[in-house]
Amino acid sequence: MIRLNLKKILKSTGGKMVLDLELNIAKGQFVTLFGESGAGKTSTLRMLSGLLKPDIGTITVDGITWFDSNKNINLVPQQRKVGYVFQDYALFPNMTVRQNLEYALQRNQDKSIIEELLDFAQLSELQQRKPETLSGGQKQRVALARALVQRPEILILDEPLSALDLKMRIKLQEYILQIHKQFKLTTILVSHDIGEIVKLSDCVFELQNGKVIKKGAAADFFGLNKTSAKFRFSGEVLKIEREDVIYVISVLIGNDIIKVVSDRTEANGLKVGDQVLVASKAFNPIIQKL
Amino acid sequence: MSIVYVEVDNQIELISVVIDTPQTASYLIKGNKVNVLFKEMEVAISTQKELDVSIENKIPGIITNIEIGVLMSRLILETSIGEVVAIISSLSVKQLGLVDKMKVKIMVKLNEIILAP
Repeated sequence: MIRLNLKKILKSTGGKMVLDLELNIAKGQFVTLFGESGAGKTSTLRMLSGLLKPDIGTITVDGITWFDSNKNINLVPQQRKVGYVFQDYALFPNMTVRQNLEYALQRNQDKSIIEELLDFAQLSELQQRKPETLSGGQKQRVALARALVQRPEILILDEPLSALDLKMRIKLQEYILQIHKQFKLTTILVSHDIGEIVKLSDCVFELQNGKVIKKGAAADFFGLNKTSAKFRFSGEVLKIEREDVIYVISVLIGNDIIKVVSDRTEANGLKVGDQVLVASKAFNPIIQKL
Repeated sequence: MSIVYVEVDNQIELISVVIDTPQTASYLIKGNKVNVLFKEMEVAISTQKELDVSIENKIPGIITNIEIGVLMSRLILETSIGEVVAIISSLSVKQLGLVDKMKVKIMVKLNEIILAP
């Protein structure tokens, strides 16, 4: 269990903000911090990983105190078992894939983890390549592998997929879920993509002005459970076409593109890239054995 | 499975079938407010007042607008529970002789009604 109880005054160009939060995250959970830019999501994660010092409060992980302003306890980042992945990969450009991973090794750490991770991330063939020769998806796989070198118990993903195209994003979402389960991690994600959040996380915390204003199970959080419809998915609008008096909306759901006929009252409120809920009653779909 | 009777705007009773029961869905309590959703494409139109047909929900209405397309047409109907949009084939519009200001019955099967608590 991760318990954060923190206060920190943050100064930015927009003025001063008081980050004041209490967060409890169960071991093994996949949680998402959701909210507008500047709400305090990244600052929270930086305080958990030891990159930013809270003004007052406590951080305990599985009963061990990482930070306590009263007792003057503040573990350095290297002592905290946290892997951190950033949106911009943050790879060393002058090092090969393998060297990027090796750089993360702790002194006296068994090097066999490097082979294991290169293998798991299917990076063995790319291990001698420099980051600049890799695609965005490959770079992020390297960054994810590097975050796992020190065998962290907590994985922090700060908008890890937002720079990637849709297809690569979906592929890496699967990969992140696989990592989360395989390495028995507690994972904390920052994301704005509702489909991604619902797909990956167990629980969502919404931050606004430095405070948690709402929390809940992912599907409940976005109101996806608020209809009796049982045939229900969330996805992203890819195309809106008018045909005769109706509109045909193409929606990407997982790896599949589905089409929904819609009246103009709904179609006029939609644009390409919107996150949508697609629902129908359990009575309507037909089912056939393949 | 449950059959749910919903009174809409104190005017009309709509019937829905859902696979939930009061045990599986907490919103299924008498007196609880729900929104009722159905799709424009699932609305059938009849010009006859009394019709022996296995469509449970029938609402009287007046056609206030018809937009005739090549294959499909879009009708706006004024009813006691508000405006309803129906999308039916242009073939049916022609066969039934549907025109503006005409009094009709709007029909929706109970399995097409979604409840949104």
